[in-house]
Amino acid sequence: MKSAERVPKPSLVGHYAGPVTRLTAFAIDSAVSGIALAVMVAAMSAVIELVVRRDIAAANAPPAVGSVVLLVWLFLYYYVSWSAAGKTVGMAMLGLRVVRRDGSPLDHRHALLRTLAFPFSFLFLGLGFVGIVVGREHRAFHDIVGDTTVVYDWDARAAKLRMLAAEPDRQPTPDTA
Amino acid sequence: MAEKRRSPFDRAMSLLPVDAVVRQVDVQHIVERIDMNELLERVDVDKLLDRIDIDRLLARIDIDALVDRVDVDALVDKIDIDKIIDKVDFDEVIDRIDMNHLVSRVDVNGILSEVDIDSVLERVDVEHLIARTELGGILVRSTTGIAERGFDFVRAQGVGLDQLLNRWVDRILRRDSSEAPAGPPLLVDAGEKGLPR
Repeated sequence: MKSAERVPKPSLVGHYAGPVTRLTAFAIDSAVSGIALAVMVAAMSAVIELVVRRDIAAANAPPAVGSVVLLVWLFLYYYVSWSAAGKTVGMAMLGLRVVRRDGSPLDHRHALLRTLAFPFSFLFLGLGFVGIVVGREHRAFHDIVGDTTVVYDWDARAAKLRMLAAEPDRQPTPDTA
Repeated sequence: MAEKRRSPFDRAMSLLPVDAVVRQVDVQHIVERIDMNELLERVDVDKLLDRIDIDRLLARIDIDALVDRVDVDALVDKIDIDKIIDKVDFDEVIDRIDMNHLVSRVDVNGILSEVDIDSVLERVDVEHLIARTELGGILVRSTTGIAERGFDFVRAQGVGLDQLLNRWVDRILRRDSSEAPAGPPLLVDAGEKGLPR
């Protein structure tokens, strides 16, 4: 597997995460949270229809209601994920974790601050995210507000060993074939 | 009657004061005139040694005092060790060694307690070992599934791209990549720098 050559030799645990990984994690989180919201809305609509015994078109709800539901859902998704585990689903898949700036575990208060500041990072064409690309500690606006940073939480060296270990199964040598 | 039978020489010798003559002899002068080498050549050494009681002689020797007077270092310096080793048939020596007995006398635990296992393991190329042995397959079966390997693949790609982007940003901003901190102080060792960019 050629990808094994791209894995750095030292373990990455605790190192500042880069912009590509964080952006990928955010994209996954957006998809997961969107799908989850759609499933929940559909499920709730079905339950309400069963209770009131008439058709409810959730898509016809006023835009303000939809926006409020979306914001509340996103707030809960990120706040609960960060305060409970220090990571969202996307971050877990990419091997990332949110910690305090000094490396200590994230607490509820700083998770709340980070979640509340998160939308403001999107303002002015995402100006709040520039720090992830150019900063030495790769901190966005919401990281600065919440006194947090994002680090790698997976052992790159162990992963490389697993990849190397998997290779004989894929490409049997003449001795093992 | 017996006096009559003695020769004139004997009678003359009996008249000489032998003791007085001997007293006058310079023994030291005689000894100095003796050729010792010629004398020794005429001695039958084997016959002489046969008459010597070696055991009794050795019993009278103070071996410790003798050894104390020997300069062992000087003696060893004169010995040509290489020459001796050349003469030794090591195969025969090894054949005569009871290896089981020898090994049973070795304190393996004592030796292992002095071994720095960490430094030994650091010298082991684990990646090469896993790539060449069935240990890899065992590791894969016991620790990961297909999903985990998929995540490893995606994460590795992401880290590679992170490094690439960081390298370009540092180049554009003309920063020294080696000065970048690796991570928060509580999570990385002091002085540890970021990944090679």
